[in-house]
Amino acid sequence: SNLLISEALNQLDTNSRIEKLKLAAKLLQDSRDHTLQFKAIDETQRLLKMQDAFEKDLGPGFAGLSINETMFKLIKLGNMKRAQKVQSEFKVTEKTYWWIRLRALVVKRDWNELEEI
Amino acid sequence: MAPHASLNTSDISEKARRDLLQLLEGVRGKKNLVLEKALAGPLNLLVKFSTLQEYGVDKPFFLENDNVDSSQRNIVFLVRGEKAKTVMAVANQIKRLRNKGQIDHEFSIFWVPRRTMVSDQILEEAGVLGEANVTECPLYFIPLAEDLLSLELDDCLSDLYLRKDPTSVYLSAKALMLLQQKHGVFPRIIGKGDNAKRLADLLIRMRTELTASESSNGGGTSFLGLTPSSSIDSLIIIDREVDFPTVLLTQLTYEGLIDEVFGIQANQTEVDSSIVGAAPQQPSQNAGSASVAPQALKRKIAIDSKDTLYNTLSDSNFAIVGNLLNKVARRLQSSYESRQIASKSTAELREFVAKLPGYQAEQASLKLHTSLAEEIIKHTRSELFTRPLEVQQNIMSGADPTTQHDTIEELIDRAIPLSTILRLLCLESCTNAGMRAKDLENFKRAVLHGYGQQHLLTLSSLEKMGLLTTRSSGLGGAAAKPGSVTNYTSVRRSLRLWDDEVNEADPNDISYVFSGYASLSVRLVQSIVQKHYLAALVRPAGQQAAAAAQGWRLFEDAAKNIRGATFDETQTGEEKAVKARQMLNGAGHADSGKTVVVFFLGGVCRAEIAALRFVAKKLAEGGGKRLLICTTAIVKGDGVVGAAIETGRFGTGV
Repeated sequence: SNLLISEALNQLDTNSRIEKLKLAAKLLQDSRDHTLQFKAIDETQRLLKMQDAFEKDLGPGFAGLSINETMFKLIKLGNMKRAQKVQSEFKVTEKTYWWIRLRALVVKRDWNELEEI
Repeated sequence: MAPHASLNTSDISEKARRDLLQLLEGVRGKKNLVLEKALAGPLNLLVKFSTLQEYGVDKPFFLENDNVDSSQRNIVFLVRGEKAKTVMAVANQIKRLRNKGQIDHEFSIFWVPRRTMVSDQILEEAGVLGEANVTECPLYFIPLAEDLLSLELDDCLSDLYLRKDPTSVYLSAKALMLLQQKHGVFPRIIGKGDNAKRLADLLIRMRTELTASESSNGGGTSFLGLTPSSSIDSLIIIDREVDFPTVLLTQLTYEGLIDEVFGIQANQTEVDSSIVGAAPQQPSQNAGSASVAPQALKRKIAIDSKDTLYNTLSDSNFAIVGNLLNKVARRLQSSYESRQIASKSTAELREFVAKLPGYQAEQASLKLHTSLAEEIIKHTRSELFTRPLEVQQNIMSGADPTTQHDTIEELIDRAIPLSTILRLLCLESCTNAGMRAKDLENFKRAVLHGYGQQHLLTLSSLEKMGLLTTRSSGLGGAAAKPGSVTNYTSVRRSLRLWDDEVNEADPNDISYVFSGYASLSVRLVQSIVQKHYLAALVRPAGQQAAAAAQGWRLFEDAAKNIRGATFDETQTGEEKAVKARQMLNGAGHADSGKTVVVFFLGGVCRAEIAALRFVAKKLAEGGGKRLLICTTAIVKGDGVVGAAIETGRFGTGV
């Protein structure tokens, strides 16, 4: 399945990537040792889909970011709601979320918001 | 027949240079030289470009740039023939040039260091084998310093441990064989680690093969070359696998830190010119932050033992580098001031002027190193440096690793470079024989979230290298199979890996290079060459063991707790030859002046070199042996985990 993942990395558009990942996931589905990997691949698919949606609404630059980076970018663009949605979707811990929020707001120089925290 | 001269690194570089130039001479007329990028640095160490020009090299090209033009009829490729990819690149270039060809090109390929079957086959498939003159250029060891030889195989780490490709073992064996042929057989081969064992076996086999072929040729005269060497005491092979933690730690010597911050390649480092002041148009406020001035010119600085100041600095702990620099500055200043007073007699003046170039050179290097040190201090003061270091020190001193997890998690949340995080995680896993499954899972998730899902591949690579594992998975706990994992808790005690009373300014033990941690690899070497010292250190005021212990004796128990095979072979020559040798040398050669060759398979880091030099100095004080450090490449922690990091990303938008 690693091979399929690296193939997925080489694909150019989101849909074909997701196809490849699905194949990779299928290989691992029945194995008990690879539950973590299976879950991660699943997460990747969902993330890619979300990033696709964000790109349509907010402009390019989302695809390929990690989950934390996605939230970072969303907060930077002022999209708190969506960032929170990402957080709940991938069960990101509160602590991590606050760190990201802090960093993003500093970059944005949004001192008002920072004080509210 | 002259007795073997003592091992000298300059001989080796001299020979390599001669070989290379001879090959170049073999191609008549002017030629374009196509280099593999990785070879450019080592080549630079051997020959100057002007020398190459004398031998008819017109323009050098990099293979990777794919831009060889057809300005010269002769085209010479100088590339490593081990990797199929580079061979393909060569083939493609030849084809491209041929298709463009107004001129009838003549191609020569010099494989470094040997021609392989695979390369021949690829060239044949590409249909270019017949058109090129293929030769070997036996470039093995490249001396980086007086006591340091390197094969400069940058990929050997990932080859050996990730892809389990034994090529570098073979190349190391070849290189060591060349040493043996010149200086005689290593009387004793001692080593630790599975790959090291493989290397030793290979060496022994190669030697028997050589003797066999010689005797079948009827050449009885040359067997002298294969008797135990009189100048080499023994060969110690340490497998990197035995001691990963040492390279994963942040190096704290001056040279080590330069490597960590700027990177060193073949004795050269590239530093932003705004730091060392070569480009005056750069405003000084910008200095340091590479992100502010990414387009700033890079300046290449050669750092090697020719620079006397650097010599004194390179191996000391960074904590005292400031003081050392200060001292040198004071001395220079006072000698400048003495000029006014001394300018009385012409003789004195002349003497002063004669010294002036020396002073100037020293001043220039002082300025350079001060600015480098300043930059490094800026780096080391940042939290991103101190926090991971804190974690490292805690782990190495044997604190409960779970207490460090919060810090590591926080660092992930703050998006510090991935390699730093991976170094910490791997360090913990290595020293504790794996992590608890639950913790590891959490970290894996955090890494994926923090740095991108593509690192699924990174993590699985690390697992394959044995750097990041779960405890008691497959391998079984440390108790299940001794020798498969390193049991740090016991080794820490038996070899005294942690030293609470480090003295960085005036080191009394090798632990100074890491400010506390004495690296396992160097301790292993010490346990062979410095028995008394180490025994006294481990068991203070204890019973001193038998004096003339050899090999692993005294430390077998400790060695047992360390991962990998342990071995100790003696190589003796034919009786007659040995006797003849003794007659030639005059019997009863003392131990002094002999060289111990320490070979690191899979790379060595600069801090370890510093530690070994410290050991060597101690040995020399005792009127004993010399140390010669050989390695496949010089590595650092970022390189170790970097071998595993997946560079591809989901998405092209970045």
